[in-house]
Amino acid sequence: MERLFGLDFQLIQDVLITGINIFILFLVLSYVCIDMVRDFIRKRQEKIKGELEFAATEKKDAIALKEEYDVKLRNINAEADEILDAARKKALKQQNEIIDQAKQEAARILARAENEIELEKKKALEDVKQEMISIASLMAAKVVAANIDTTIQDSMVDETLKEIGENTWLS
Amino acid sequence: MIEGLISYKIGGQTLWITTTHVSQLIITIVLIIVAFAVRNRMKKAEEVPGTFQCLCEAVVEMLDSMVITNMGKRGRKYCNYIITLFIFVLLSNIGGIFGLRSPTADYGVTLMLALVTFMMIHYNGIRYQKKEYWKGYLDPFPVFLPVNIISEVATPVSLSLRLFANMVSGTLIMALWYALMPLLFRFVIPAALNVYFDLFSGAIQTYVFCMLTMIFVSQRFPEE
Repeated sequence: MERLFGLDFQLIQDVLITGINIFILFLVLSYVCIDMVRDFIRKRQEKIKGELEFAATEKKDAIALKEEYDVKLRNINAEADEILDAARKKALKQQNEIIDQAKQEAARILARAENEIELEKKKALEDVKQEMISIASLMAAKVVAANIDTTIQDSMVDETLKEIGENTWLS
Repeated sequence: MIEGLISYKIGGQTLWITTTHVSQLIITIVLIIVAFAVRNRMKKAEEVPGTFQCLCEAVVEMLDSMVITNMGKRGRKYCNYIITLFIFVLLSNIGGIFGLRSPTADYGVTLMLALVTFMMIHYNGIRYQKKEYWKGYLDPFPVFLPVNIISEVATPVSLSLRLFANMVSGTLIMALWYALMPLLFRFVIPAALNVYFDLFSGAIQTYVFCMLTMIFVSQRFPEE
């Protein structure tokens, strides 16, 4: 049999065979592979979408964290400057206090030293005076003992002392 | 020409198992083997796909996208059929390259494919358009009923004849070339003709058939 085209029972048979063939092919391709491939693609799309969303969230968080740290770093510099300023002021204040105390101490020491010198001077004057009195007394006693009585002797000593004057033996 | 291989009788009618049936059977078996190969591959599918997995995913994704682009979201349920139709018609059209007689060069095959489209068109018409579908046969006046019926029937006829005529013309031209040309011209030159009539024309006709099927069916969908 050879044919190209014919509207006959052979055509109906061909149509039915093709229909069955297509139906079987549709079922097999659909359930064996097409649905499976599509399902795999869908799952991968969801996974990629999820990963992209996760990455976007992570990026957002990282940016927020970076900004937070940047602000902290900026504040840390300002805070450090404040601490340094305070330390400098405090150091300056302490320096001034120490200098003032040192000056006061020096002044006190100087005053005490002057006072002591003054006292020592007075004491030395008094000692010299007493020494001179003793010497003069001894001398006078020896002279008087040799020549005059005690009353004349004392008046002579005082007279002598007056004649000598304080300035003479103080210089 | 379609050649009969085995004959049998039903109801006094002599029917033949022809070269078309054998070609169809070979194509179907090949597709089923490929389908199981794809299934095996997809069971061991990796996140980073290999060549075969990539090819399978590309085919499914491309055809899915083509269907949804042309039919809208309602066309999603027709994706599997359109993919089956596309692959079957494409392999049938280019079967000539592999020494098969193109099944689509047999009117029995293209008529069945067009009838499936016809049934899908009217199923969707009845389902979505309801009364409008039936009223459509009486538009613009009831007297146009016969014309409308003929126009509806013309759809599968034109669909099937377009594919059949294109494929059979290629097959005939190739047969004539081999029959009429001297032996010297039966080498090399037919390769170019095969590329055009089997590959190019076959691919174009596959696309046209699927595209018309999608457009005719989607015209019956309600507006989104």
